[in-house]
Amino acid sequence: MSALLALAVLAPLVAFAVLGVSLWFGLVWTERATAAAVVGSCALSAVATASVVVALWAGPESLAISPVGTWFGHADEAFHLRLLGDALSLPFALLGSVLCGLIGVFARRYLHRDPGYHRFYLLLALFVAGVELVVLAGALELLVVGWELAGLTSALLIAFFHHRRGPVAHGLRAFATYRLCDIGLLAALAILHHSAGTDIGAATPTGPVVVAIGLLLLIGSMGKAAQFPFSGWLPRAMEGPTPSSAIFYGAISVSLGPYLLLRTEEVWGQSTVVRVAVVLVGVVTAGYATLVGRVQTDVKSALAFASMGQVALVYIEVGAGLRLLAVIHLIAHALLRSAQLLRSPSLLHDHHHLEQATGAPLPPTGRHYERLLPTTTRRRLYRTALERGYIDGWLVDRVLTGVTRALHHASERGTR
Amino acid sequence: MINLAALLVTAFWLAGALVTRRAPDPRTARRTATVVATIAVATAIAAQWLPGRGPVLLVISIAGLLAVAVAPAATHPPSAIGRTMGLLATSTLSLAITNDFVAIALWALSAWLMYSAVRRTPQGPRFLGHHAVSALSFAVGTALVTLDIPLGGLLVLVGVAVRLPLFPLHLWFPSFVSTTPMALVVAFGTTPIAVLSHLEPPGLAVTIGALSALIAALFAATQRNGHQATAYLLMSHAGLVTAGHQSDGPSLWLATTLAGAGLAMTTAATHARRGTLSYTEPLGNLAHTPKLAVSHLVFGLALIGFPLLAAFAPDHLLIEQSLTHADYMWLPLITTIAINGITVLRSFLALFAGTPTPTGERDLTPLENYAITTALTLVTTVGLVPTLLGTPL
Repeated sequence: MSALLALAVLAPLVAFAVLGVSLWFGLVWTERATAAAVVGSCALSAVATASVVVALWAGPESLAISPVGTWFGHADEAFHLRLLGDALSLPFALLGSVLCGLIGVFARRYLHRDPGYHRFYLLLALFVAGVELVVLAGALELLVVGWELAGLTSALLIAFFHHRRGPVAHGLRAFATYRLCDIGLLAALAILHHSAGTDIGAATPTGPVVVAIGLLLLIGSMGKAAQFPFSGWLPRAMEGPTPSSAIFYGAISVSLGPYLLLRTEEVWGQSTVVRVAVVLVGVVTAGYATLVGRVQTDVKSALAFASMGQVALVYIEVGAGLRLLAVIHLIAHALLRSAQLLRSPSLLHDHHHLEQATGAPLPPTGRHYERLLPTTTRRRLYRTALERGYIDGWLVDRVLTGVTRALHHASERGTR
Repeated sequence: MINLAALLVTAFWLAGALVTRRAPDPRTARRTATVVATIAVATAIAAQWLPGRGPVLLVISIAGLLAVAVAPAATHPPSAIGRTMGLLATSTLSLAITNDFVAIALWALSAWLMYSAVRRTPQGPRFLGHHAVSALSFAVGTALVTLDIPLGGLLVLVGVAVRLPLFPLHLWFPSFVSTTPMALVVAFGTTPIAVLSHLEPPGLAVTIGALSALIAALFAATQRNGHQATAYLLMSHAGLVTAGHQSDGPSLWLATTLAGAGLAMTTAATHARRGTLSYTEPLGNLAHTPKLAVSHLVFGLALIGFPLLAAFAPDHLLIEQSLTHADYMWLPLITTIAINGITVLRSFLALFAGTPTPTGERDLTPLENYAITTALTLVTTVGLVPTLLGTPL
């Protein structure tokens, strides 16, 4: 089973390496060959994961651990290469490889003759490798490797249409959010390394350090999951090609945040403070996403906020200790939302078709607000929702711009 | 003790310096220098199987190959290529002969060589002022260290802080990177890390290194052109190396010297094609210069310790060891690494994206392609197998 777990991670990584080296040396494959290589690697990864699932189901063991090896470092500082297949990681690993493979098949036609066709598949292969590494990692240090790969591919795919300034700026914004939240993840890892070790399922820390580790992990997870106040990048991320929006922001990438919390629950789960904080983040984000999502005027933005809201509900479930429900919710949401996003370019056609079928305009939604809230409050809420809670304006225009300007002037002083 | 492989490589660089200075034009000088650099790299690779300082020699040689092969002809006349090789010779000679007084002499010699290249520019007086202090502090400090006088370590720290550079003694560096031929900047940055072994008190050096790394990272993230951002990125990593000088600094130095050389030279190559490196006015299109863009990104990611690339393992060990050796410094180090990641992607997107119009820029020339492919091979190989670098000192 160890070899199968390794194969699940290595297959897409090898596809990425082969494609990347070929492109570097000017060997441009045909579109069909490029897609086949990446989709094939996803299929191989899915078969390997499914084989582990079957073997565990048929056998007496409940989890598969690959042999512990050391990548580099000695003694306490050693970096462990350890993969873990269990009831939490295997469903996500299977989901990741199957969905990415399907997206690969879909994109063959969607991106046919697009100048960035090979780049898309190259990044998709790296993303699958990153996701498989995150979910199958048996040590948190290894999880971070996959985490970073997934973050980079996400940003580069948002900036896929690189000749336009908007997607480029939005890709950078997403990456900046990831990296700032990564400070929390890396800090949690550093503390964990010196308190109980980073191998999953090994010893757990005790005492006040648990709260610090739990809160840092929560911050680390919030960037990828687009939880409030780190949510501004998600609707902007929809400027990437639709297949990547579906797989990243409808399905897999946004699910990595809650997955991190589920994976590390035995580390922070004993702390009520952390549980309350996780629930609070979920409640605030769910309210924010519901409010703002209702006034979006394009389907991909509306789906982005819907995705944010559902992931926020999963946060509440994780915080409340409803582990199984959270896993089912995440998987079901990933499947449904990616299908919705793939279908989104045909929304107007579908809408028109539905109206023709029913013989009347479709009824407006959200009328109950008119009955429940006075007009002034509704207008105020509407304005707040249109401005996305004023968070972007305040955070970017007031805080970030001021800080960067001050730092720039400080750096200029004395150097010229 | 004399390291024969390093001595041989020094001889190659010196011979190359003499030949290229007399070359009739920059292109001939660059071609000749690339041949010499290739011989130096081959010798350094062969030295990997000998006991001694193989990894350091190899990294300096590949940084040298990048410097001379990617040096744009427009900004690198034969004299600049020759000086670059002269600077590389001082770095490899300090590996060949490990003696404190030789180190002092080479430190001063390399500063003088560099000054001779910039003395007629507006940066000349500022460079002279800083590096005269640096060389003097380093010389007196090293002499005092050999006599076991505690003040010596502090003076060495001042000398090193100017040279690397570290905050607040960095004022000469950003404008130096912006106006000096980049090959010279890269060669000047290959001064081996051995000098850090004298730093005293170690706690102060770690604190200054970590804070300098963080401040430079914040400065880098807010720059509006590629030269300044590259300068502060290099400065930030100099801070990280200093912060880890007691433990993981040498490995980190190897990785950052290699990746930093790649980042600096791809920045210079982009500047030569475009004439400006503004972040506020996008002028690039990665579809037209895909190899230049990708190499810029990969070298940048390697510099910031991105997974599977050169500095990942050293950065990881630096954080782990900072918890043991200086438990208050791990947070600035983590923050530095995270912010530098943002700067690298910003640089990539600002320089190679944002415009639909054909730029007319040429992708890598055969010479550039050769040097960059060689360096990228090492950057990724070392990233996958960090133990290849072994124990550098």
